[in-house]
Amino acid sequence: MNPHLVLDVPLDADDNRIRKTYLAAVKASPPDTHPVRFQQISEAYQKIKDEPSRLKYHLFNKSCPGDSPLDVFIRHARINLKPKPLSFEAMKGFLRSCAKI
Amino acid sequence: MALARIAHDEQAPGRVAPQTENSGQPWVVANFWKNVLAIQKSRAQTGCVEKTTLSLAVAAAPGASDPLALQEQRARDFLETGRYRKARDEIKPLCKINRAKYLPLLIQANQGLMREMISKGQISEAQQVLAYLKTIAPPSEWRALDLELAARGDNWNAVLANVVSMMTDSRQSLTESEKQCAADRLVLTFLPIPAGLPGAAQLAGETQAVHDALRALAEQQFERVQEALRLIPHGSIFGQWKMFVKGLVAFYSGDFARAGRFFLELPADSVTEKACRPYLVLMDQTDGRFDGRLSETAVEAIGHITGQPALGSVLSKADRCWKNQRPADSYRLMRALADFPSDKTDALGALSDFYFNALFVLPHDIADSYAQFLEELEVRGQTKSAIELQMILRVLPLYLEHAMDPLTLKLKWESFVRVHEQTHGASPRLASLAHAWLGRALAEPRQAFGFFCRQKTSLRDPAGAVQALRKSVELDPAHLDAHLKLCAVYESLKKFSERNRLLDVMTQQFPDDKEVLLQAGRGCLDRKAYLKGLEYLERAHHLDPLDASVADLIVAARFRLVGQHFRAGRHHPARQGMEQIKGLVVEKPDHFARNRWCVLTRHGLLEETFGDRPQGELLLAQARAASPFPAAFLFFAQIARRVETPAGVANTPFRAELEMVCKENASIAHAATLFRIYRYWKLMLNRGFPDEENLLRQYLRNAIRKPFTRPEAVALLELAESHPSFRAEIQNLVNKMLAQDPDDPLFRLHRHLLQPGSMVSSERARGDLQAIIKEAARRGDDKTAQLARNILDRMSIPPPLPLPMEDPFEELFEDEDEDGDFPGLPAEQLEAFQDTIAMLAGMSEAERRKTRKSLSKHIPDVLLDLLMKMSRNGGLPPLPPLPVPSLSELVPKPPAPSAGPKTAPPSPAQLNLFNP
Repeated sequence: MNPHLVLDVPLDADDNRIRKTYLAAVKASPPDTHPVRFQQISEAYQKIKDEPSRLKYHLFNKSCPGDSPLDVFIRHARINLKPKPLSFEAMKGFLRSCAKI
Repeated sequence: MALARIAHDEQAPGRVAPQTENSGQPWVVANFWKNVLAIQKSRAQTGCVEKTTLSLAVAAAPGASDPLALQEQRARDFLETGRYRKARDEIKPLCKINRAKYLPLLIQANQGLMREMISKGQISEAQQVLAYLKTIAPPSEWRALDLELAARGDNWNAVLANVVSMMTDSRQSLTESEKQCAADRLVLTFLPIPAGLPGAAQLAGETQAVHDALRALAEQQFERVQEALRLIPHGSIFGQWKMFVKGLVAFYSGDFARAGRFFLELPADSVTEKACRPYLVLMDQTDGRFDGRLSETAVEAIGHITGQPALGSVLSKADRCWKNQRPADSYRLMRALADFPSDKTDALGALSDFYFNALFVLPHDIADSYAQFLEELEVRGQTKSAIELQMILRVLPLYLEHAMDPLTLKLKWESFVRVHEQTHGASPRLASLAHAWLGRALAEPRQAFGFFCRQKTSLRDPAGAVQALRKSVELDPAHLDAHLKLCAVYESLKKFSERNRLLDVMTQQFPDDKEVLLQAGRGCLDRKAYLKGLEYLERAHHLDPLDASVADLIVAARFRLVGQHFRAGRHHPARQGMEQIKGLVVEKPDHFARNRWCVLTRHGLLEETFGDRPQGELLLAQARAASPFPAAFLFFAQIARRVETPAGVANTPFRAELEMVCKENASIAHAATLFRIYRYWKLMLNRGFPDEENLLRQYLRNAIRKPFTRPEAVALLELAESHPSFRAEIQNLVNKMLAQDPDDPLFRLHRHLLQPGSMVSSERARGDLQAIIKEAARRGDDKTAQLARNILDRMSIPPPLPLPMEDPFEELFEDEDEDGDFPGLPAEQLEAFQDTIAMLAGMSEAERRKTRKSLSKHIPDVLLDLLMKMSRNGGLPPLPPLPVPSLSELVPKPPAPSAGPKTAPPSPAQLNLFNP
């Protein structure tokens, strides 16, 4: 997954901001209680910690962020989950469509 | 119709109607035939006559069991297997015989059929079945279906009317599931229940409460949601809706654990349970429910929930295409979205990363055709945005790095840099990284063939590599890797003056980088600037004292300096140098650069020759005692003596003793050590020692005559593979091993490879290799089996042209090439050459690349590059008539020591190779 997304920093964030965000994220997810998240954060930080690393990542990154488009979308949504309730009309349509499954 | 006649004949007067064990009464038999005729008549129009009559006639044949029971069984089988239409057709005639008995089955068949039609969206057909069902079944049998059908047809007013009448009619007793279904439908109407209906007040209130809660939720008024839900009492038929909405509140409040608890209690396959699936997926709490598969509706809902409403429906289809291994179609669907592809960090950005980087994880054949699709977009100028073009131009060279010819690779990658500048602004660092990558790719060594291959290691495109790396260094003078790579390329091209100039710049630019200091030290040693070299190496050693290669180089440099001092009679600094060397001594007997006995040997030789002779002899005696076996000391000392003494004569005091040891105590295990010693000196001084090679050969011959184990033989083979001059001895070793075990797959493989033309495909060679693979698999020798398989793969297409192993590009590139001569090709080879170019010229660029990839296993890269270049230019240019040389002449000869004027090498234009 995109390291900017994992650390929740914009693409144009500078070294200082990335480091601060990284430290905050590590504090929030220490390795003893959140080992998986900690590893994700550390790997992401290594990829974008300074400009040469960021440029290398953007140029030569070959990692595939999922198994299928839907898988990628769901993974992305899980990491970046800031849900907003469906509008009433959208919910109505959604519930009615569920009755047809 | 013939069968119908049979049935009719059977009923003719004078004939006896068939009787079965279970149908003894005459009236049953009479009824049976009556029914047969009635059914036959009624089905004559529908084309079912023959089948029904057949089944009944066969069943009624003398000796058969009860036809009714048989038909009933068949109907039940159809019902069980979900073939409702067939079941209904079987039961209908039975129902006419015994309505009371078979009506439940008929109702069941029609219900099943209706559900099937509803699920397939055949609403009007389902309505016809429902109309029929209403004529044969009580309301309890079709009410739920009626509701479901009405909901499917989006006729919500009708649903409301039906549900309200059903729930308020005290005469109808509803089951729990019917009540639940009715409550779901009432909520889904999203209509107010008309006031004043008897018994509907509570129903109306609770339905309204659910609607209000959902409305408040949409407005993120969570307190209002709770207030509305309070109106739904415990035990209400709307209980699951209450739980669903509470789960939603917990979800949007970020309390996923609580949300999950509510959602997981909803009844399976209810509307609410289906509606909570996307939320469970987003919270990663599916726990294996619904197999993690989501309906199109659920995917759309996720799109809505995550603020990507347009993405959901497209994504669902694109995902299906992807999973059906149609990545290009999947990409086409996604491409319809306005902001796709994107290089942002949003969902479309993540999907863009996926669609391009998937090339590296897809199966090769699928990835190749997908890459072809992407390339066609680029080549035809059909990219929808600069971002898409940029992404294609980035991924194709990365994916096709080894399949693309250098020119295309360069063009694509440079285009990527250009487009990236247009979309993101100029970035010298990024451009420098990009050019460094290109330089590295072009500086890859060409692929070699087979064992004992003498092919000179050459680079893929040396000129292009140097150009790209120089550009990289210019764009970013702080780019260390580019400097190091350029230095390595210069070295492999033997452009030492350029390398040394670059190293001077690098030591200024990167004074504290170990690798730079190491390279600079090596450069100084090459030009005999030992003190300067040692200064660099000591700094590198200080930076990383554990790096053995630095310590090895320091010892090598010190020995050269010590040798200089001894030769010049400066004994004191020489011995001081030796003391410094002793500080780096290791105890590994095979570490010939600086183990104790090797250091003692070299010191002893220098003392003996140039310094204190008795001291030298003492040191040599100590070295002999510390060495692993006498032959190792003698062989090492023999070569060291030649290296260190001024004359470098072959007849050293060690030679006679070594020859004697060779005859008496030779062994394969010791031969391996001697091989390593020989290799150490050869690599360190970059020169051969023919006399010592002969001694080693003699030793090896003697060792092979004595008994040895298989592991010893295998170890020696691995060492000898890079020494083709030992072919005869290796052949003997292999033969001896095969004499002990004729089926040994590893040694059979070596025997095969040692034969001339072993890489040429032939019936015999293929059969031989296949037998080896089989035997290796039987013995569990996977390594040998894989090796044999690789060789077999390379044989799959015979090499079309026997070619010289040398690289004509290299000759063209070298500045100092004096008598460069690019030879012509024999007539038959020229013809094959032209045919291949014509074939490639008729292909599209993508097809050409694919063909190149498959041919690259069999044709040297240098030729493939030429073929590709010429095929793009429309075929082989007319070559000037050249004298036809033999193959041996094709190998460039060393420059003749002629005093006459040097002939300039032919230019590419003269050769008609590059500018036809």
